[in-house]
Amino acid sequence: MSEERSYDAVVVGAGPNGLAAAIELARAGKSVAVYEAASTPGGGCRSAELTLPGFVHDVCSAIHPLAMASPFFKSVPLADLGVRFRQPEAPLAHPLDDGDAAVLERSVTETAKGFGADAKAYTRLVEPLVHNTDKLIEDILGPLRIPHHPIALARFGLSAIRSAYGLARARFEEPRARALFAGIAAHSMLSLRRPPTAAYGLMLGVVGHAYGWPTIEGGAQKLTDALVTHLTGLGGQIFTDRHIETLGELPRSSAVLFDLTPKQIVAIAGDVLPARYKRRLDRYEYGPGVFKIDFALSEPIPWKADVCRRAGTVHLGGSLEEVTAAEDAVCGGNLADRPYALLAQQTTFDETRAPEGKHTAWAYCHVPSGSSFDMSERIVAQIERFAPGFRDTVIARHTMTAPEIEAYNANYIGGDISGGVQHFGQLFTRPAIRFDPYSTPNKQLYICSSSSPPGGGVHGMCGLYAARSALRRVF
Amino acid sequence: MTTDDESRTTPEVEIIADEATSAEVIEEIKTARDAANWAQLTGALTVGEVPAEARNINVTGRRQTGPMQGFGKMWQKTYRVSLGTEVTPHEVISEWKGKFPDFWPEGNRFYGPLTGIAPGDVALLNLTMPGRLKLSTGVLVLYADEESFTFMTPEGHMFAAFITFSAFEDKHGDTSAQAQVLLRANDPLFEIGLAVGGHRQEDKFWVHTLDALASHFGVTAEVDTQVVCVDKKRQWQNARNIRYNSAIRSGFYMMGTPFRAMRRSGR
Repeated sequence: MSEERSYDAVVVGAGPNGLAAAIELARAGKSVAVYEAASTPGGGCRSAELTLPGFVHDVCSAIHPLAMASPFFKSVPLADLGVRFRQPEAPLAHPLDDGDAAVLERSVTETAKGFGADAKAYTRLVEPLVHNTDKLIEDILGPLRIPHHPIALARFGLSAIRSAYGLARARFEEPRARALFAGIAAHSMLSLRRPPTAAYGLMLGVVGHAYGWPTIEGGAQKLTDALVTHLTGLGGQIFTDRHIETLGELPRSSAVLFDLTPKQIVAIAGDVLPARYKRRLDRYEYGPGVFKIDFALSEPIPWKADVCRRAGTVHLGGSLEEVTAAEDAVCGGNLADRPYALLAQQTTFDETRAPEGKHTAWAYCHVPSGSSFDMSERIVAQIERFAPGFRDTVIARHTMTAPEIEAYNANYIGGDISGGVQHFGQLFTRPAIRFDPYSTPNKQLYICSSSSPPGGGVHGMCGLYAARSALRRVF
Repeated sequence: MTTDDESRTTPEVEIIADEATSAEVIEEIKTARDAANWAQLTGALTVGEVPAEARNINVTGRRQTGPMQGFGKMWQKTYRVSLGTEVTPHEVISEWKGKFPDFWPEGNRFYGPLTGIAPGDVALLNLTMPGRLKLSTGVLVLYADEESFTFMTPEGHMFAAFITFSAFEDKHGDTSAQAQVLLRANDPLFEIGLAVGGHRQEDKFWVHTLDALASHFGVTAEVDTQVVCVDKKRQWQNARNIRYNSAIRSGFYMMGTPFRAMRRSGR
């Protein structure tokens, strides 16, 4: 693709947020070019045959509830661009040592039925939020601002502001509901004793009821391919294998949007940012890393609890207390002996990803930032705990430690897949406290990565808001 | 809790079917949906009917190897050329399979079975190397369908590699032909060779091949080359692969040519 000398805007980084920003700018009639360091666009949304030919694995993100729920993705004609969301029968299962499992079903009522004495408490907590999912998403998936739906948000906030550990113990009496909630909240990569981890448990659970936890037919790469097609159809250009180290390497433009973390932004544009803002970016806090493992399997995972076979995602960590202890260990800089592991079994509901009769599994656990420890055996042990005989189904496996994940995608500092820790201090004010967090003191530079609100996840909302900020301030 | 005391620095792929699953599972893989497109892996390679001048000193009895069994850094090299809209991917692959040797650079010979390129076939390669060395090696056709085919290399080949040839329609409706090589040098000697010009030779080889393919379809287009180092780690446990090094063995074979000729004339 030929390179023009100047554009209205240039985006550095072709992850979902970078592409979202470029699409929003192109929709506004601006000429836009995206520069990507890797050979293919996609950032955290790519697929590859990591183990054996014919077995498609998602390299980073795998389950995409937020892609379905996100206002940005709703604005892109994904179906016309070949994206098919595949829904498992149940979004999530959380097996326990008694041989059974807690299950998040699409229906709140059906889910509650599995919680025995906690059925009413679960329904009371979740049902009103499920009815207001879209209102909540509109207010939560964005920067801090005057809410559009203050009542719905307040109702959510009263519970969400607590720690997941505190809310689970206060609302539920039995281990089943407590464990399920802990497993969902642990997506936050924070200690579950820390507020507002309950917000993650509630939000992801509510989205699971309202939209499901789907995967993308054929692999996450299909979503990226769709965004690329859409962007180029709007006149945008994408240049791959272009690792940008200085602003001077970019063509002339009125605005530069970085789908990068503060660390890289300082390295590239530190010279044109005020010292005070630069110091804030330098102080930006990154979270724990992840260790990831992909399996090619000869057959489906032999779960002890049959209900787990119906779920797209399975959380492996045992009780609330055990999941909390595992995440506490990681946040304290240690490795968990029995880690909380997230597992997706996409081929049970998307048969296109493996040869007929064969399966894949995708799993990761949290580790201290930058840890190069190989957690394979500990993750396998956790799977075996709830699915004895799993080892015998493994044909091949591919593993990535936290530093390898960072080497694969420079935005994953120390293996942190969320673009920075997502605690109160950085949730809405990332990467620095500003009225418009997507802007910088330099009117030409903007941040559109998950290091801006609303943070990690494949939702494209950081890109959307950053593009709108640039359109407002520059054009 | 434990501390970070066991570490490593590069991603790992581990093929553990042989250890962890029964022979039944391997059998299932062989008879999967697209079994007809896959080679039946028998362990040792055997060469079918090939012309008499083809030299087979490094193939028969060797096992096939993928990048997991190699020694050097792992590279993914992709060579792609756009062939326009006049030809379909099926036509490209059909022609490529049927006339595979014709597209190679001069001095390099591909002796495939007369049946063409089919899963399980073993072809002999006689390649011209620097110093006029005629290197004798081969490839196994691991997979073949109407839009792609994949080679796997034998022990002793320069690379432990998967080489996939494919054709597809891009988003603009143009048909592209692509050769993609996922490789590790098979042993330390070949790794040194790659570093001192081997990579350049390899790139030239495939660029020439795709150029020739494009010319065959009446197209003049630039071949796009992408090279990615997938794994910087060398697999020292596989350094002993050197015992099968096809260059060394081909060199000895060439040195013995006069003696073999004398022996024949003395009969």
